[in-house]
Amino acid sequence: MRVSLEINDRETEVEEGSTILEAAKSIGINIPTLCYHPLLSPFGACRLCSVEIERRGRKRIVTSCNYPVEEGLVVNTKSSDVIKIRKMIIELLLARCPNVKIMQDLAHEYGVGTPRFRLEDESCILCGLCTRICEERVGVSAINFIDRGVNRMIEGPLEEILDANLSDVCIGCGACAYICPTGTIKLEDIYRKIRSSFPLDIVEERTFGRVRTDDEIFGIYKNCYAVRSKREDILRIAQDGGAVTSLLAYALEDGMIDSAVITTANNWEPTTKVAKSYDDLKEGAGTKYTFYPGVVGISEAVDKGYESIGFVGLPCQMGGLRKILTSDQPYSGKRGIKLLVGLFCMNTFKQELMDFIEGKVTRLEEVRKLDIKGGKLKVYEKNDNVDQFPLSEIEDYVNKGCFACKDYTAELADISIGSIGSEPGWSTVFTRTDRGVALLEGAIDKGYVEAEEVKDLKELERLTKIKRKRAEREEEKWKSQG
Amino acid sequence: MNSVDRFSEGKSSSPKVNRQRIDSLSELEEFRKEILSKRDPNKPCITLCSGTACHAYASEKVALAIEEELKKEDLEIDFRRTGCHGFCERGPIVVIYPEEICYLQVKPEDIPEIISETIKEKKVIDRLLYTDASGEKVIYESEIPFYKNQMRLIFGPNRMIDPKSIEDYIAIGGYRALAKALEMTPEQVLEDVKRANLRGRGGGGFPAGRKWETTRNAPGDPKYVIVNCDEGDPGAYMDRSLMEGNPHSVFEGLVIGAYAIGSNEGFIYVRQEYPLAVENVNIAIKQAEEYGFLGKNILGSGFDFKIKVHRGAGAFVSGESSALMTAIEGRVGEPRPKYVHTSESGIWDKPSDLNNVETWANVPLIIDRGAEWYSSIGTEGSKGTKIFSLVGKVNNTGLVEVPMGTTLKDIIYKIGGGIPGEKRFKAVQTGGPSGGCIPEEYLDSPIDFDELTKLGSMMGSGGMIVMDEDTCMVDVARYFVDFLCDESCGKCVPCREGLKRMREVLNDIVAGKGKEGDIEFLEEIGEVMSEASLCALGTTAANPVLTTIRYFRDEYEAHIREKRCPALVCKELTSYYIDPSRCSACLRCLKNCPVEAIDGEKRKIHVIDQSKCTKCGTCFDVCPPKFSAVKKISGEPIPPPLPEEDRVIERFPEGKSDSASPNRQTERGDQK
Repeated sequence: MRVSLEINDRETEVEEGSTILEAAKSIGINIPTLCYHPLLSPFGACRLCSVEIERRGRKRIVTSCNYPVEEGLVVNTKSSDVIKIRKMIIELLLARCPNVKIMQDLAHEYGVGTPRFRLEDESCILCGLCTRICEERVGVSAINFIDRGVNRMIEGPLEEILDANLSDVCIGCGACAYICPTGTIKLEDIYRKIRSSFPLDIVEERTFGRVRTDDEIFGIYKNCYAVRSKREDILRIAQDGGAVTSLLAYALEDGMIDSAVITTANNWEPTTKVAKSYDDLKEGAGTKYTFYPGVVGISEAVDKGYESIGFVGLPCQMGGLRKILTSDQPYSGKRGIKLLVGLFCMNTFKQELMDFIEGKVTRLEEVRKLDIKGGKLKVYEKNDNVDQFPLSEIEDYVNKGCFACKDYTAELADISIGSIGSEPGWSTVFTRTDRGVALLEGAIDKGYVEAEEVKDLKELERLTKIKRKRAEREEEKWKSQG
Repeated sequence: MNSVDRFSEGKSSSPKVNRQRIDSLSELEEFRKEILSKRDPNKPCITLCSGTACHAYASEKVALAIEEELKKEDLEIDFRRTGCHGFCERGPIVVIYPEEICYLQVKPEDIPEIISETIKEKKVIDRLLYTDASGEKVIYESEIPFYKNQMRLIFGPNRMIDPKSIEDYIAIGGYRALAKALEMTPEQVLEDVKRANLRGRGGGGFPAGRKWETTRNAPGDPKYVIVNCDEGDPGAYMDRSLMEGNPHSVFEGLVIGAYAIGSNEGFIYVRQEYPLAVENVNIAIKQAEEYGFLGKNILGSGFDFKIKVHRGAGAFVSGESSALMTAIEGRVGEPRPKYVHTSESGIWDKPSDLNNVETWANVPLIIDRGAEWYSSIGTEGSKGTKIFSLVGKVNNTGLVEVPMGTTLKDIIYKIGGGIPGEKRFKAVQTGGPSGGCIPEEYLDSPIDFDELTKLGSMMGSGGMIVMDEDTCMVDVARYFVDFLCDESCGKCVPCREGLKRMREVLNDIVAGKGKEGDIEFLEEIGEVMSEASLCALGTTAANPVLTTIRYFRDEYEAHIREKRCPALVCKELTSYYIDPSRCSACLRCLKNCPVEAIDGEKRKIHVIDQSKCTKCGTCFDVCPPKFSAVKKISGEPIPPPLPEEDRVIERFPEGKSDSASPNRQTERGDQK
């Protein structure tokens, strides 16, 4: 049912059950928020989105993020009362976090000068985005508020002592760091801690029934092939051999999985999608190099009732998921996840990389494909132009947290896939578990892919060793820093 | 029978009638007659108040002494340990029936005398009676002024029943209202409660009937009903005393409400800090189930209802309805937005009706005696009675139940006996930390929900803290803000950060660092907190500050402008000083000073070294009243000490010395 209301003297009609904030957005009216995120249920804690409503002649202040629209509602998003409230909230938070950029920006926008309170030097504004994404979307609740009143704080990844382990249930997905609006939670910290405390031996034992030997440089695997899709339409959009998309297509058709959580992109900003069909899967083709906590997509599949879910992700995501899947810890995706497809990864980049490309090359809409190979970033434009940059030029955009990672080939996945090791147009595939073997063999049988033996693993070995060395050096560095 | 053995088992002291499961109103009435027929109204019965307050006064030992004495004397006498009588100032309270002789502050050693004199000889022991201000003794409980001026509809039965005995409750008419209600339709019950205009006793005063109706009409199944016994206001304990002393009356109201709403499952949220309440509630639930007042097919009506007890883990904010429901769900007790009311979407998003203990306890009265009768008590907008927890600087502290509309003056003076020590009344704080301070000029206000709100305060759950002239209102505001800084959940910015900053400003003011504009600044912060906070705790958290500014602005100004605390409370603005004209060098203060800040010796006028003084006030307290040489001063310079040579006192004969003794030097001392 549609509901009509009036916002700042403009009539609009939205779906019943929408919030005032959503209604305002739909007609381009911006309301500032701090604790709101479209991925999460509204929290109503920052109160910055307060607006004035009028109902049956009575005015009152409500938070627009969680106030459901009503027929005939009259909303004013910038009455003098509203502005007064917002200014005070900004002043209060700026006094708490004078060095946090979003607070400085808001203060500037609303003309709030130096706070009249004593300045503190906190960075966390207690918006609760981290705790909610961890609970609602990641599904592990590894981070939460502790204490109450003026002593309220976040526990978990904010722990300052470096060698303190994260909460046992943390899977190091980085969602909290991704969503943190103040930069209080840093991906780097999360990754360092998850890596330095990762119980690799235990997880390997539980996954493969044994621990790797010293000479198993790519981790435990059963077979290694060069794989190429046999579907023309996939090959056209594929990064290399189109192996990931084709294997998933087979898994869906065969019933091995009923859905696949893949990473797609919206104008090169990564997001996840629950793919249920061949066409859905094609949206995920092509490598996105910037970081996104893809595991948040799993909860969507679970919520939609899928019971055998395939997940495509990076080595760090494979590690976190495998850890929680083989443990006794509660996790919402536990029963549903049936297949882990890992991608080779040296490191991820910050989203700012895309700003760099936009500045140096062209509008992101015009970019068709990104590829990193041979020490270069290649930018393929839709008009077939190709630009390239040495990696040294984009060093600043590297997620430094990735330096903590020793895993290049997604060693804890069921099946790992990447481009290094095979000829152009082919993908390198490690089958690691029985499920991984079954997937590849089935896909070959059904004509989704073709496979050849991999001839030369030297380059792959070199990169794997570089990544591991880099992590060891980092570890030394932290240890020496205490 | 001998009543002693019951304490170990929690069984009834009175003759037990072996009868279980009651299936109708007529069966209940029959059963009541049966109980009463076995009870001889003329047989002596000793009752002892055993609520938590009296427990703290060692009523347990008094009980043991009574049991022992009865055993020794082999007396056929009933002994009943009741819930709180309310006059906690003078507990433990022993009342001897049938005469109703009331003894206060009874100690174990008084028991043999009570048994031998009063029980056996029917003689009254004068020294244990209530003595009024004029020295007159009062024998009967109901004639003590503290009780005489109350209307104890809800709280009255406490003194008559043993909370661990369901038969005691049935004997006084208990569960009759439930039996009646179950013979009505749910709509009729709802209509009665609406007509009675019962308003919620937990804080906001929302009409209970309307709330019930919302839950009844809300889609969703199951529906829940909840008793809020998370009383957390400093100094308030009426819900505890009801829950401890008469749990069945709360259940009865709850089951009636559940029937009207169409709910088959209820929760009692009770603080873990109320162990006796938890104990008595659990015993009472078991008994009520056995007799068929809870469980399946209640009183043969076909209506099912069960109660679960949820023990709260000590958070003031959990008393807020949505926070309480979140806590019942097993999560941290934090409020959530209520744009959709909890009565429609509460526990696990199901329609949930929450009322506080006292509200539920009112329900049986309405059904039993009718909405007309009920609404004849009270004021236009607020019906029935209200229990207040009268504490602070008042002679008779305790629990007070009066009709809505009683004036503050009647409560504080007629019932409370006025202010101790001939001090002047200054303000009364109502409504707990979210309430406000009401000054003397409004003492004649008839109190009900609306009147208190008009005065900038609120009914809250009924806390009433009396303050005398020695109370600094800025300090009071700071106390409540400090309390809320710890007890706010900290979720929303205006409440968490606002309280923190209010405390910062108030701390400055009481420390003499206040500046012009601070008052307006506090008002500005408070206004935003009131408008923009997430829950009722936040929107009312500024009340203690805003009302003290409203009524005692001059005190704030004295602190800020003159660096003076008019009540001489704020340490940093107050100094202790020994008036040389009154000091007789008795050494008392000097010996008691914990930091050796006082200089002097025999026959040498004492002087406080201000640099060492920690302002603990010991010297002030120990200085003999006949000298009253130690003075508290604020906002004025401390007179310089006397020259060394003038400090020697020409000694008058010892013992005679009075204020006149150290004479000559003093004049000079006074001249500064």
